[in-house]
Amino acid sequence: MYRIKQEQPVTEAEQAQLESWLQRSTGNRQLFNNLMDDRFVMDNLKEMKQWDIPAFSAALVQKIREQEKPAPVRTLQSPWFRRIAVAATVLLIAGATWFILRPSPEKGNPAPATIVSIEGASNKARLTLADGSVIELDTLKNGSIAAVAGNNIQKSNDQLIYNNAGEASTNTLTTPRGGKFRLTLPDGTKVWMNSASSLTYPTAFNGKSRTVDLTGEAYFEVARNPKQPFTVNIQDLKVNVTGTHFNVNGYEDEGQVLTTLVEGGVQVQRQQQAQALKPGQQAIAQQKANTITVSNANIKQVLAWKDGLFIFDGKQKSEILRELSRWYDI
Amino acid sequence: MPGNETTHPLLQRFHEGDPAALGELSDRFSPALMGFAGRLLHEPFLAGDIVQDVYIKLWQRKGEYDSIEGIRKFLFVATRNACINQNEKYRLRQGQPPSSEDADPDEAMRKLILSEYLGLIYQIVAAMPDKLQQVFYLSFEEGLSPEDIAQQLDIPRQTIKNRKVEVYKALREGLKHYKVAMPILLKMLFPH
Repeated sequence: MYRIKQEQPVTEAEQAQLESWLQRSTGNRQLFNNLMDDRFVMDNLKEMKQWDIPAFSAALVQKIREQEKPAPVRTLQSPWFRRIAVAATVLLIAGATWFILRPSPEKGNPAPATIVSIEGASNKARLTLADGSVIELDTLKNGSIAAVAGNNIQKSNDQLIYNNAGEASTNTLTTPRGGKFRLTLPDGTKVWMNSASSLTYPTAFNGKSRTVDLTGEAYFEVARNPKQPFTVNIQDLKVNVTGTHFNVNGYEDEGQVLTTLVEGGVQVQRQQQAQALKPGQQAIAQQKANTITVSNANIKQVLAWKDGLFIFDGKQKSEILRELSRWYDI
Repeated sequence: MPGNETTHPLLQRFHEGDPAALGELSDRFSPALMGFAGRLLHEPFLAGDIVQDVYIKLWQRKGEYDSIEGIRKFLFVATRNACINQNEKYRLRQGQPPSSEDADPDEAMRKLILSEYLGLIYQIVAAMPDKLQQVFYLSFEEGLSPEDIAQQLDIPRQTIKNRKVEVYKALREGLKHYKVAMPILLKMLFPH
Protein backbone atom coordinates (compact mmCIF):
# COMPACT_ATOMS: atom_id res chain seq x y z
CA MET A 1 0.00 0.00 0.00
CA TYR A 2 2.48 2.62 1.08
CA ARG A 3 5.96 1.27 1.38
CA ILE A 4 8.00 4.03 2.84
CA LYS A 5 11.19 2.11 2.45
CA GLN A 6 10.66 1.53 -1.25
CA GLU A 7 8.75 4.57 -2.40
CA GLN A 8 10.60 7.13 -0.38
CA PRO A 9 14.20 6.04 -0.50
CA VAL A 10 16.15 7.52 2.31
CA THR A 11 19.82 8.41 2.21
CA GLU A 12 22.40 5.76 2.99
CA ALA A 13 23.12 7.29 6.36
CA GLU A 14 19.43 7.32 7.21
CA GLN A 15 19.11 3.74 6.01
CA ALA A 16 22.00 2.68 8.23
CA GLN A 17 20.47 4.50 11.16
CA LEU A 18 17.16 2.77 10.55
CA GLU A 19 18.84 -0.64 10.32
CA SER A 20 20.70 -0.19 13.57
CA TRP A 21 17.50 0.97 15.22
CA LEU A 22 15.64 -2.09 13.93
CA GLN A 23 18.33 -4.38 15.26
CA ARG A 24 18.38 -2.74 18.62
CA SER A 25 15.33 -4.56 19.98
CA THR A 26 12.55 -6.90 18.95
CA GLY A 27 10.11 -4.16 19.98
CA ASN A 28 11.53 -1.87 17.31
CA ARG A 29 11.36 -4.61 14.69
CA GLN A 30 7.79 -5.41 15.66
CA LEU A 31 6.85 -1.74 15.40
CA PHE A 32 8.34 -1.40 11.95
CA ASN A 33 6.57 -4.54 10.75
CA ASN A 34 3.28 -3.17 12.10
CA LEU A 35 3.77 0.15 10.33
CA MET A 36 4.33 -1.70 7.07
CA ASP A 37 1.40 -4.08 7.54
CA ASP A 38 -1.70 -2.93 5.64
CA ARG A 39 -4.02 -5.15 7.66
CA PHE A 40 -2.70 -3.76 10.92
CA VAL A 41 -3.02 -0.19 9.70
CA MET A 42 -6.56 -0.74 8.41
CA ASP A 43 -7.72 -2.39 11.64
CA ASN A 44 -6.42 0.58 13.58
CA LEU A 45 -7.98 3.13 11.25
CA LYS A 46 -11.29 1.36 11.65
CA GLU A 47 -11.01 1.71 15.42
CA MET A 48 -9.96 5.34 15.14
CA LYS A 49 -13.12 6.14 13.20
CA GLN A 50 -15.11 5.01 16.26
CA TRP A 51 -13.46 7.66 18.45
CA ASP A 52 -15.32 10.36 16.55
CA ILE A 53 -12.59 12.98 16.70
CA PRO A 54 -14.83 15.78 15.29
CA ALA A 55 -17.26 15.25 18.20
CA PHE A 56 -14.37 15.15 20.66
CA SER A 57 -13.01 18.47 19.35
CA ALA A 58 -16.48 20.05 19.38
CA ALA A 59 -17.01 19.01 23.01
CA LEU A 60 -13.63 20.47 23.91
CA VAL A 61 -14.43 23.82 22.28
CA GLN A 62 -17.82 23.86 24.01
CA LYS A 63 -16.16 23.21 27.35
CA ILE A 64 -13.65 26.01 26.89
CA ARG A 65 -16.42 28.43 25.88
CA GLU A 66 -18.45 27.53 28.98
CA GLN A 67 -15.41 27.92 31.18
CA GLU A 68 -14.69 31.38 29.86
CA LYS A 69 -18.23 32.64 30.28
CA PRO A 70 -18.24 34.80 33.40
CA ALA A 71 -20.34 33.14 36.08
CA PRO A 72 -23.14 35.15 37.72
CA VAL A 73 -21.90 36.45 41.05
CA ARG A 74 -23.74 36.07 44.30
CA THR A 75 -22.23 36.65 47.70
CA LEU A 76 -23.49 34.81 50.72
CA GLN A 77 -22.05 36.91 53.49
CA SER A 78 -24.99 38.13 55.54
CA PRO A 79 -25.86 36.51 58.88
CA TRP A 80 -29.23 35.66 57.42
CA PHE A 81 -27.59 33.54 54.78
CA ARG A 82 -25.27 32.10 57.37
CA ARG A 83 -28.16 30.84 59.43
CA ILE A 84 -29.73 29.24 56.42
CA ALA A 85 -26.45 27.64 55.59
CA VAL A 86 -26.08 26.19 59.05
CA ALA A 87 -29.57 24.83 58.78
CA ALA A 88 -28.37 23.02 55.68
CA THR A 89 -30.94 24.53 53.41
CA VAL A 90 -30.04 24.47 49.80
CA LEU A 91 -28.63 27.58 48.21
CA LEU A 92 -27.29 27.56 44.77
CA ILE A 93 -24.92 29.43 42.58
CA ALA A 94 -24.50 29.02 38.89
CA GLY A 95 -20.83 28.39 38.73
CA ALA A 96 -17.68 27.71 40.62
CA THR A 97 -15.81 30.82 39.52
CA TRP A 98 -17.36 33.01 42.15
CA PHE A 99 -16.06 30.98 45.02
CA ILE A 100 -12.60 30.66 43.64
CA LEU A 101 -12.24 34.37 42.96
CA ARG A 102 -13.75 35.45 46.25
CA PRO A 103 -11.22 37.12 48.55
CA SER A 104 -10.09 34.91 51.41
CA PRO A 105 -11.63 35.67 54.79
CA GLU A 106 -9.68 37.77 57.26
CA LYS A 107 -7.99 36.10 60.18
CA GLY A 108 -10.12 35.56 63.25
CA ASN A 109 -13.24 35.86 61.17
CA PRO A 110 -14.02 32.36 59.99
CA ALA A 111 -15.54 31.98 56.57
CA PRO A 112 -19.26 31.43 56.70
CA ALA A 113 -20.44 27.99 55.83
CA THR A 114 -21.60 28.17 52.27
CA ILE A 115 -23.68 25.58 50.58
CA VAL A 116 -23.51 25.09 46.91
CA SER A 117 -25.66 22.62 45.09
CA ILE A 118 -23.81 20.29 42.82
CA GLU A 119 -25.32 20.48 39.44
CA GLY A 120 -22.17 19.57 37.61
CA ALA A 121 -22.10 16.02 38.83
CA SER A 122 -24.23 13.58 36.96
CA ASN A 123 -24.74 9.92 37.51
CA LYS A 124 -21.91 8.65 35.39
CA ALA A 125 -19.88 5.56 36.07
CA ARG A 126 -18.12 2.66 34.44
CA LEU A 127 -18.25 -0.89 35.60
CA THR A 128 -15.31 -3.16 34.87
CA LEU A 129 -16.08 -6.87 35.14
CA ALA A 130 -13.60 -9.58 36.12
CA ASP A 131 -12.97 -10.49 32.48
CA GLY A 132 -11.92 -6.90 31.78
CA SER A 133 -15.06 -5.97 29.87
CA VAL A 134 -16.36 -2.46 30.53
CA ILE A 135 -19.98 -1.34 30.89
CA GLU A 136 -20.85 2.35 30.60
CA LEU A 137 -23.56 2.76 33.20
CA ASP A 138 -24.90 6.16 32.23
CA THR A 139 -25.90 5.04 28.77
CA LEU A 140 -27.53 1.88 30.06
CA LYS A 141 -31.23 1.28 30.56
CA ASN A 142 -32.50 0.15 33.93
CA GLY A 143 -32.77 -3.55 34.58
CA SER A 144 -30.51 -6.54 34.76
CA ILE A 145 -27.16 -5.74 33.15
CA ALA A 146 -25.14 -8.85 33.72
CA ALA A 147 -25.53 -12.29 35.15
CA VAL A 148 -22.08 -13.60 35.94
CA ALA A 149 -21.53 -16.88 37.76
CA GLY A 150 -24.80 -16.69 39.64
CA ASN A 151 -24.48 -13.01 40.49
CA ASN A 152 -27.23 -10.87 39.13
CA ILE A 153 -26.41 -7.17 38.73
CA GLN A 154 -29.34 -4.76 38.53
CA LYS A 155 -29.12 -1.16 37.48
CA SER A 156 -31.75 1.33 38.56
CA ASN A 157 -31.22 5.00 37.69
CA ASP A 158 -28.08 6.04 39.54
CA GLN A 159 -27.49 2.84 41.40
CA LEU A 160 -26.19 -0.64 41.01
CA ILE A 161 -27.44 -3.57 43.07
CA TYR A 162 -25.83 -6.97 43.46
CA ASN A 163 -28.02 -9.96 44.27
CA ASN A 164 -27.43 -13.66 44.90
CA ALA A 165 -24.19 -14.78 46.38
CA GLY A 166 -22.68 -17.01 43.72
CA GLU A 167 -19.08 -17.47 42.79
CA ALA A 168 -16.98 -14.42 43.59
CA SER A 169 -15.28 -12.46 40.86
CA THR A 170 -13.82 -8.97 41.06
CA ASN A 171 -15.63 -5.91 39.74
CA THR A 172 -14.53 -2.30 39.70
CA LEU A 173 -16.86 0.70 39.64
CA THR A 174 -15.17 3.88 38.43
CA THR A 175 -16.73 7.32 38.45
CA PRO A 176 -15.14 9.92 36.18
CA ARG A 177 -14.74 13.49 37.22
CA GLY A 178 -18.18 15.00 37.32
CA GLY A 179 -19.81 11.63 37.95
CA LYS A 180 -21.18 9.92 41.04
CA PHE A 181 -22.94 6.66 41.71
CA ARG A 182 -24.59 4.50 44.34
CA LEU A 183 -23.87 0.85 44.80
CA THR A 184 -25.39 -1.93 46.90
CA LEU A 185 -22.95 -4.75 47.49
CA PRO A 186 -24.06 -8.41 47.74
CA ASP A 187 -24.02 -8.25 51.58
CA GLY A 188 -26.43 -5.30 51.54
CA THR A 189 -23.74 -2.71 52.26
CA LYS A 190 -24.55 0.60 50.60
CA VAL A 191 -21.82 2.70 49.04
CA TRP A 192 -22.13 6.26 47.71
CA MET A 193 -19.27 6.94 45.32
CA ASN A 194 -18.05 10.49 44.89
CA SER A 195 -16.60 11.66 41.57
CA ALA A 196 -13.15 10.61 40.30
CA SER A 197 -13.24 7.55 42.54
CA SER A 198 -13.13 3.83 42.12
CA LEU A 199 -14.13 0.85 44.18
CA THR A 200 -12.93 -2.69 43.59
CA TYR A 201 -14.97 -5.39 45.28
CA PRO A 202 -15.87 -9.08 44.97
CA THR A 203 -19.31 -9.91 43.59
CA ALA A 204 -19.81 -12.25 46.55
CA PHE A 205 -18.29 -12.09 50.04
CA ASN A 206 -17.45 -15.73 50.64
CA GLY A 207 -14.39 -15.50 52.91
CA LYS A 208 -13.85 -14.67 56.56
CA SER A 209 -13.81 -10.97 55.87
CA ARG A 210 -15.30 -8.48 53.43
CA THR A 211 -12.60 -6.43 51.76
CA VAL A 212 -12.91 -3.66 49.18
CA ASP A 213 -10.32 -1.30 47.66
CA LEU A 214 -11.10 2.38 47.33
CA THR A 215 -9.48 5.33 45.60
CA GLY A 216 -11.00 8.78 45.95
CA GLU A 217 -14.00 9.21 48.23
CA ALA A 218 -16.98 7.14 49.28
CA TYR A 219 -19.56 6.95 52.06
CA PHE A 220 -20.33 3.50 53.41
CA GLU A 221 -23.31 2.10 55.26
CA VAL A 222 -21.97 -1.30 56.11
CA ALA A 223 -24.44 -4.12 56.74
CA ARG A 224 -23.84 -5.47 60.23
CA ASN A 225 -22.10 -8.82 60.43
CA PRO A 226 -19.63 -9.25 63.33
CA LYS A 227 -18.57 -12.65 61.99
CA GLN A 228 -17.37 -11.14 58.74
CA PRO A 229 -15.55 -7.85 59.40
CA PHE A 230 -15.58 -5.26 56.63
CA THR A 231 -12.31 -3.63 55.55
CA VAL A 232 -11.73 -0.69 53.20
CA ASN A 233 -8.21 -0.49 51.77
CA ILE A 234 -7.22 3.00 50.74
CA GLN A 235 -3.67 3.99 49.86
CA ASP A 236 -1.61 2.43 52.68
CA LEU A 237 -4.49 2.44 55.18
CA LYS A 238 -7.02 -0.11 56.30
CA VAL A 239 -10.34 0.92 57.76
CA ASN A 240 -11.75 -2.01 59.76
CA VAL A 241 -15.40 -2.09 60.74
CA THR A 242 -18.12 -4.46 61.84
CA GLY A 243 -21.25 -2.53 60.95
CA THR A 244 -21.34 1.20 60.72
CA HIS A 245 -21.75 4.39 58.70
CA PHE A 246 -18.61 6.24 57.71
CA ASN A 247 -16.97 8.32 55.02
CA VAL A 248 -13.51 7.79 53.56
CA ASN A 249 -11.88 10.61 51.57
CA GLY A 250 -8.50 9.76 50.14
CA TYR A 251 -7.95 11.53 46.84
CA GLU A 252 -4.27 11.25 46.15
CA ASP A 253 -3.91 14.92 45.25
CA GLU A 254 -5.09 15.91 48.71
CA GLY A 255 -2.10 14.34 50.45
CA GLN A 256 -4.14 12.72 53.20
CA VAL A 257 -6.83 10.18 53.93
CA LEU A 258 -9.75 11.39 56.04
CA THR A 259 -11.95 8.76 57.67
CA THR A 260 -15.05 10.16 59.33
CA LEU A 261 -17.33 8.06 61.50
CA VAL A 262 -21.03 8.82 61.55
CA GLU A 263 -22.41 5.77 63.40
CA GLY A 264 -21.01 2.62 64.99
CA GLY A 265 -17.27 2.05 65.33
CA VAL A 266 -14.25 1.81 63.05
CA GLN A 267 -10.55 1.32 63.42
CA VAL A 268 -8.10 3.03 61.09
CA GLN A 269 -4.93 1.06 60.62
CA ARG A 270 -1.61 1.86 58.97
CA GLN A 271 0.94 -0.91 59.27
CA GLN A 272 1.36 -1.45 63.04
CA GLN A 273 -0.42 1.74 63.99
CA ALA A 274 -4.16 1.74 64.74
CA GLN A 275 -6.66 4.37 65.89
CA ALA A 276 -10.23 3.72 66.96
CA LEU A 277 -12.88 6.32 66.17
CA LYS A 278 -16.05 7.34 68.00
CA PRO A 279 -19.05 8.70 66.11
CA GLY A 280 -18.45 12.32 65.06
CA GLN A 281 -14.69 11.86 64.99
CA GLN A 282 -12.35 12.03 62.05
CA ALA A 283 -9.00 10.28 61.57
CA ILE A 284 -6.44 12.18 59.49
CA ALA A 285 -3.63 10.14 57.99
CA GLN A 286 -1.12 12.39 56.25
CA GLN A 287 0.67 10.86 53.29
CA LYS A 288 4.01 12.34 54.29
CA ALA A 289 3.96 12.09 58.08
CA ASN A 290 3.53 8.54 59.25
CA THR A 291 0.96 9.46 61.87
CA ILE A 292 -2.78 9.18 62.34
CA THR A 293 -4.42 11.99 64.30
CA VAL A 294 -8.01 12.13 65.53
CA SER A 295 -10.19 15.22 65.78
CA ASN A 296 -13.86 16.14 65.87
CA ALA A 297 -15.45 16.47 62.45
CA ASN A 298 -18.13 18.59 60.88
CA ILE A 299 -20.24 15.67 59.74
CA LYS A 300 -22.51 17.84 57.65
CA GLN A 301 -19.55 19.16 55.72
CA VAL A 302 -17.97 15.77 55.31
CA LEU A 303 -21.14 14.25 53.90
CA ALA A 304 -22.23 17.26 51.85
CA TRP A 305 -21.09 15.73 48.57
CA LYS A 306 -23.24 12.66 49.14
CA ASP A 307 -26.48 14.61 49.14
CA GLY A 308 -25.38 16.72 46.24
CA LEU A 309 -24.29 19.64 48.38
CA PHE A 310 -21.03 21.36 49.12
CA ILE A 311 -20.44 23.16 52.36
CA PHE A 312 -17.32 25.25 52.46
CA ASP A 313 -16.36 26.22 55.93
CA GLY A 314 -13.01 27.93 55.87
CA LYS A 315 -11.62 25.14 53.75
CA GLN A 316 -8.36 25.97 52.08
CA LYS A 317 -8.82 27.40 48.63
CA SER A 318 -6.62 24.91 46.84
CA GLU A 319 -8.57 22.12 48.47
CA ILE A 320 -11.83 23.65 47.26
CA LEU A 321 -10.41 24.06 43.80
CA ARG A 322 -9.52 20.41 43.65
CA GLU A 323 -12.94 19.41 44.91
CA LEU A 324 -14.66 21.63 42.37
CA SER A 325 -12.52 20.49 39.53
CA ARG A 326 -13.54 16.93 40.26
CA TRP A 327 -17.22 17.76 40.42
CA TYR A 328 -17.45 20.09 37.51
CA ASP A 329 -15.00 18.15 35.47
CA ILE A 330 -12.90 21.27 34.89
CA MET B 1 6.23 19.14 8.61
CA PRO B 2 5.82 22.62 10.04
CA GLY B 3 8.02 25.30 8.58
CA ASN B 4 8.32 28.76 9.96
CA GLU B 5 5.31 28.93 12.21
CA THR B 6 5.81 32.08 14.21
CA THR B 7 3.26 33.67 11.89
CA HIS B 8 1.06 30.60 11.54
CA PRO B 9 -2.55 31.87 11.41
CA LEU B 10 -3.82 29.03 13.58
CA LEU B 11 -1.18 29.82 16.19
CA GLN B 12 -2.13 33.45 16.12
CA ARG B 13 -5.80 32.70 16.72
CA PHE B 14 -4.80 30.32 19.50
CA HIS B 15 -2.78 33.06 21.20
CA GLU B 16 -5.66 35.49 20.81
CA GLY B 17 -7.83 33.07 22.78
CA ASP B 18 -10.11 31.75 20.03
CA PRO B 19 -11.54 28.46 21.36
CA ALA B 20 -12.13 27.26 17.78
CA ALA B 21 -8.34 27.33 17.28
CA LEU B 22 -8.02 24.80 20.10
CA GLY B 23 -10.64 22.71 18.32
CA GLU B 24 -8.54 22.76 15.16
CA LEU B 25 -5.46 21.74 17.12
CA SER B 26 -7.55 18.91 18.56
CA ASP B 27 -8.65 17.83 15.07
CA ARG B 28 -5.00 17.74 14.11
CA PHE B 29 -3.44 16.05 17.13
CA SER B 30 -6.23 14.05 18.77
CA PRO B 31 -6.16 11.02 16.45
CA ALA B 32 -2.54 10.43 17.48
CA LEU B 33 -2.95 11.59 21.09
CA MET B 34 -5.95 9.35 21.76
CA GLY B 35 -4.12 6.38 20.30
CA PHE B 36 -1.03 7.21 22.34
CA ALA B 37 -3.02 7.50 25.58
CA GLY B 38 -4.97 4.33 24.80
CA ARG B 39 -1.75 2.40 24.27
CA LEU B 40 -0.15 3.70 27.46
CA LEU B 41 -3.13 3.28 29.78
CA HIS B 42 -4.09 0.17 31.72
CA GLU B 43 -7.64 1.50 31.40
CA PRO B 44 -7.82 2.69 27.79
CA PHE B 45 -11.40 3.90 28.23
CA LEU B 46 -9.99 6.85 30.20
CA ALA B 47 -8.03 8.10 27.16
CA GLY B 48 -10.70 10.66 26.22
CA ASP B 49 -10.78 12.16 29.75
CA ILE B 50 -7.02 12.34 29.92
CA VAL B 51 -6.53 13.91 26.51
CA GLN B 52 -9.24 16.48 27.19
CA ASP B 53 -7.48 17.46 30.43
CA VAL B 54 -4.24 17.92 28.52
CA TYR B 55 -5.88 20.32 26.05
CA ILE B 56 -7.38 22.30 28.91
CA LYS B 57 -3.95 22.56 30.48
CA LEU B 58 -2.58 23.70 27.13
CA TRP B 59 -5.29 26.35 26.91
CA GLN B 60 -4.48 27.66 30.37
CA ARG B 61 -0.87 28.26 29.39
CA LYS B 62 -1.36 29.13 25.74
CA GLY B 63 1.04 32.09 25.89
CA GLU B 64 3.98 29.78 26.53
CA TYR B 65 4.06 28.19 23.10
CA ASP B 66 5.35 30.04 20.08
CA SER B 67 5.21 27.20 17.56
CA ILE B 68 2.88 24.38 16.57
CA GLU B 69 5.80 22.04 17.16
CA GLY B 70 6.12 23.35 20.74
CA ILE B 71 2.41 22.66 21.25
CA ARG B 72 2.78 19.19 19.82
CA LYS B 73 5.65 18.41 22.20
CA PHE B 74 3.69 19.66 25.17
CA LEU B 75 0.61 17.62 24.19
CA PHE B 76 2.50 14.35 23.93
CA VAL B 77 4.69 14.85 26.99
CA ALA B 78 1.73 15.94 29.14
CA THR B 79 -0.36 12.99 27.88
CA ARG B 80 2.41 10.58 28.70
CA ASN B 81 2.82 11.99 32.21
CA ALA B 82 -0.92 11.92 32.83
CA CYS B 83 -1.10 8.28 31.68
CA ILE B 84 1.78 7.26 33.95
CA ASN B 85 0.05 8.92 36.90
CA GLN B 86 -3.22 7.22 36.05
CA ASN B 87 -1.50 3.85 35.78
CA GLU B 88 0.10 4.35 39.18
CA LYS B 89 -3.33 4.95 40.66
CA TYR B 90 -4.62 1.84 38.93
CA ARG B 91 -1.81 -0.32 40.29
CA LEU B 92 -2.23 1.07 43.78
CA ARG B 93 -5.90 0.12 43.55
CA GLN B 94 -5.01 -3.37 42.35
CA GLY B 95 -2.18 -3.76 44.85
CA GLN B 96 0.32 -4.31 42.06
CA PRO B 97 3.99 -3.27 42.17
CA PRO B 98 5.21 -0.40 39.95
CA SER B 99 5.58 -1.40 36.33
CA SER B 100 8.85 -1.23 34.49
CA GLU B 101 6.98 -0.67 31.21
CA ASP B 102 5.91 2.83 32.19
CA ALA B 103 9.49 3.73 32.99
CA ASP B 104 10.84 2.40 29.68
CA PRO B 105 11.39 5.40 27.39
CA ASP B 106 11.94 3.15 24.36
CA GLU B 107 8.53 1.54 24.76
CA ALA B 108 6.85 4.93 25.13
CA MET B 109 8.70 6.16 22.04
CA ARG B 110 7.52 3.15 20.02
CA LYS B 111 3.94 3.84 21.09
CA LEU B 112 4.43 7.46 20.12
CA ILE B 113 5.80 6.61 16.68
CA LEU B 114 3.00 4.14 16.03
CA SER B 115 0.31 6.54 17.21
CA GLU B 116 1.61 9.49 15.22
CA TYR B 117 2.00 7.37 12.10
CA LEU B 118 -1.56 6.06 12.34
CA GLY B 119 -2.79 9.55 13.19
CA LEU B 120 -1.12 10.88 10.07
CA ILE B 121 -2.74 8.27 7.82
CA TYR B 122 -6.08 8.87 9.52
CA GLN B 123 -5.79 12.56 8.73
CA ILE B 124 -4.71 12.08 5.16
CA VAL B 125 -7.78 9.91 4.62
CA ALA B 126 -10.07 12.29 6.53
CA ALA B 127 -8.89 15.16 4.30
CA MET B 128 -9.77 13.28 1.11
CA PRO B 129 -13.04 14.07 -0.70
CA ASP B 130 -15.84 11.68 0.28
CA LYS B 131 -15.73 9.78 -3.01
CA LEU B 132 -12.03 8.99 -2.49
CA GLN B 133 -12.58 8.00 1.15
CA GLN B 134 -15.27 5.61 -0.04
CA VAL B 135 -12.88 3.96 -2.48
CA PHE B 136 -10.17 3.89 0.17
CA TYR B 137 -12.29 2.01 2.69
CA LEU B 138 -13.90 -0.31 0.17
CA SER B 139 -10.57 -1.37 -1.30
CA PHE B 140 -8.42 -1.52 1.81
CA GLU B 141 -10.89 -2.31 4.55
CA GLU B 142 -13.27 -4.55 2.64
CA GLY B 143 -10.59 -5.76 0.25
CA LEU B 144 -12.84 -5.27 -2.76
CA SER B 145 -11.48 -5.19 -6.32
CA PRO B 146 -12.18 -2.20 -8.59
CA GLU B 147 -14.69 -4.43 -10.41
CA ASP B 148 -16.58 -5.19 -7.18
CA ILE B 149 -16.60 -1.54 -6.16
CA ALA B 150 -17.75 -0.46 -9.64
CA GLN B 151 -20.61 -2.90 -9.41
CA GLN B 152 -21.54 -1.98 -5.84
CA LEU B 153 -21.55 1.77 -6.51
CA ASP B 154 -22.83 1.48 -10.07
CA ILE B 155 -19.95 3.61 -11.35
CA PRO B 156 -17.73 2.73 -14.34
CA ARG B 157 -14.75 0.56 -13.48
CA GLN B 158 -12.32 3.05 -14.99
CA THR B 159 -13.61 5.80 -12.70
CA ILE B 160 -12.93 3.61 -9.68
CA LYS B 161 -9.43 2.89 -11.00
CA ASN B 162 -8.79 6.61 -11.45
CA ARG B 163 -9.99 7.33 -7.94
CA LYS B 164 -7.74 4.62 -6.59
CA VAL B 165 -4.78 6.29 -8.25
CA GLU B 166 -5.79 9.55 -6.59
CA VAL B 167 -6.01 7.80 -3.23
CA TYR B 168 -2.45 6.52 -3.67
CA LYS B 169 -1.30 9.97 -4.67
CA ALA B 170 -2.86 11.55 -1.60
CA LEU B 171 -1.32 8.93 0.67
CA ARG B 172 2.11 9.26 -0.91
CA GLU B 173 1.94 13.02 -0.79
CA GLY B 174 0.81 12.99 2.82
CA LEU B 175 3.41 10.48 3.90
CA LYS B 176 6.32 12.01 2.08
CA HIS B 177 7.07 14.03 5.21
CA TYR B 178 7.42 10.77 7.01
CA LYS B 179 10.73 10.19 5.35
CA VAL B 180 11.84 13.36 7.04
CA ALA B 181 10.04 12.58 10.25
CA MET B 182 11.64 9.14 10.61
CA PRO B 183 15.23 10.36 10.99
CA ILE B 184 13.98 13.02 13.42
CA LEU B 185 12.32 10.36 15.50
CA LEU B 186 15.46 8.26 15.26
CA LYS B 187 17.53 11.20 16.39
CA MET B 188 15.30 11.52 19.41
CA LEU B 189 15.99 7.86 20.16
CA PHE B 190 19.73 8.20 19.57
CA PRO B 191 20.84 11.60 20.69
CA HIS B 192 24.47 10.63 20.03
